[in-house]
Amino acid sequence: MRMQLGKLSLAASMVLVAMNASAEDYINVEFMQYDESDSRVSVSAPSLEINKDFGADYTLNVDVVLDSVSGASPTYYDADASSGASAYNRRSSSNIKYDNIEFEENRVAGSATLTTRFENRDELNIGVSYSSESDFYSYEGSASYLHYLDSSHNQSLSFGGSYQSNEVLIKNCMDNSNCVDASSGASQKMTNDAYNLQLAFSQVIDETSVANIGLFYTAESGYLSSPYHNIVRNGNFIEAEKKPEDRAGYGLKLSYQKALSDTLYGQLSYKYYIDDWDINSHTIDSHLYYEIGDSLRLGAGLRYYNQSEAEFYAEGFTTEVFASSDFRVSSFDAFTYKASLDYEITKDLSYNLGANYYDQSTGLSATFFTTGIKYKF
Amino acid sequence: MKYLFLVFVLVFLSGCIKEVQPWEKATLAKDAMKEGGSNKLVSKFHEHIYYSKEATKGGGTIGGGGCGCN
Repeated sequence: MRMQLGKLSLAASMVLVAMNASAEDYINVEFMQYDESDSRVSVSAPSLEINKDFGADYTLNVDVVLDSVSGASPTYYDADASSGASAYNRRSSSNIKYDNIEFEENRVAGSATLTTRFENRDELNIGVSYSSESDFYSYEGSASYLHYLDSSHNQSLSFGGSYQSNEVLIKNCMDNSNCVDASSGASQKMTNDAYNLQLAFSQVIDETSVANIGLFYTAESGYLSSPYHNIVRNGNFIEAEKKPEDRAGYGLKLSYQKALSDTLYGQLSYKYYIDDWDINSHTIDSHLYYEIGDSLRLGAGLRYYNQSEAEFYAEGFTTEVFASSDFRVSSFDAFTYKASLDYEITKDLSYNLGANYYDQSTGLSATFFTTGIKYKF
Repeated sequence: MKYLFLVFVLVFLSGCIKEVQPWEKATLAKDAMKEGGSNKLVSKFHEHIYYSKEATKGGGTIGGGGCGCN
């Protein structure tokens, strides 16, 4: 009897450990710095996250991030324009160049998620997100439900969906010298909508490993082009890119987490994606974490990404109705090399540092660093 | 890809799945076992970078906001 009570007590404490691992009161402050090579985009992004439990059944998570973006993005432009290099110099030119066009932008984004836990510990998450730039606004609502399939919580099924409404403001001009500022209210407002659905199954394999399998579907409609990217028609006429106004894609994601020893942990995931723009991609992501003592954890990771080009991708002159020279819809490979450090200064205060190098076969490479402090209260 | 999927199905269907009791889940509850890391802000930042530099949509966190992403 005493042994059974001891086991029950241990079980209760372990359940509490598991609960505390995913639900606790904390403030997390992070600073993130992203810098591309060749004087392209730089982003400085301070962010704040607050997580607060209200009893055992409700948790509210709120975060906000401020992005300060500067740099340049490559596209076609008229190199003879007296007003200087601009993506908005859309006209006939005998001197068309493909190079970086400078820009600056500030972005404010935030999200809030309320988690509700039911008697069987199933979870319902309801979330809202908002993002704004001088020429872009995004509003999103989302919901997901986690259902445990067995009493030991070794199997779970989760499904969720989100709806996003976006507004893109486009400068009304044919020549950069006569542009109306996008935020003045005189610009043209374009919109698009995006839907996302996910279904995932999780299985605890044993005391040291978990596997997950998920399916997802995405759909977008409306203005999906970028007002900053140009194409060349008729040999010498610069026009704004034109992507199709509908896109639907779906995919599969597999992941596996395994404690390889008392101090070494491994994670591996694979994602396959395909859409009706003829883009398909493969993503393989891996992490290793090594614990040194009770307070220090070192991490290293490698991510490989490969995608095929969209059916309308065009380098240079094109006669197609839909066309884009945006490198993001081209065919490329990318590697990310990752390193991280997590240090528990005290039981309630921890520090984290991350360093990453991203290398894309299009010529784009970037470093991104994260550093932050998390305080449990 | 088909082979990876097959491996996963085999793992699920094979006898290697064990009934793990709640008091045996201390390792599974560790931060190092959380997919994508335990820090939500860092995970969102990484997702945002890939979202703005690659063409793949979906398969990440449900909800998170969009961007103009020049």
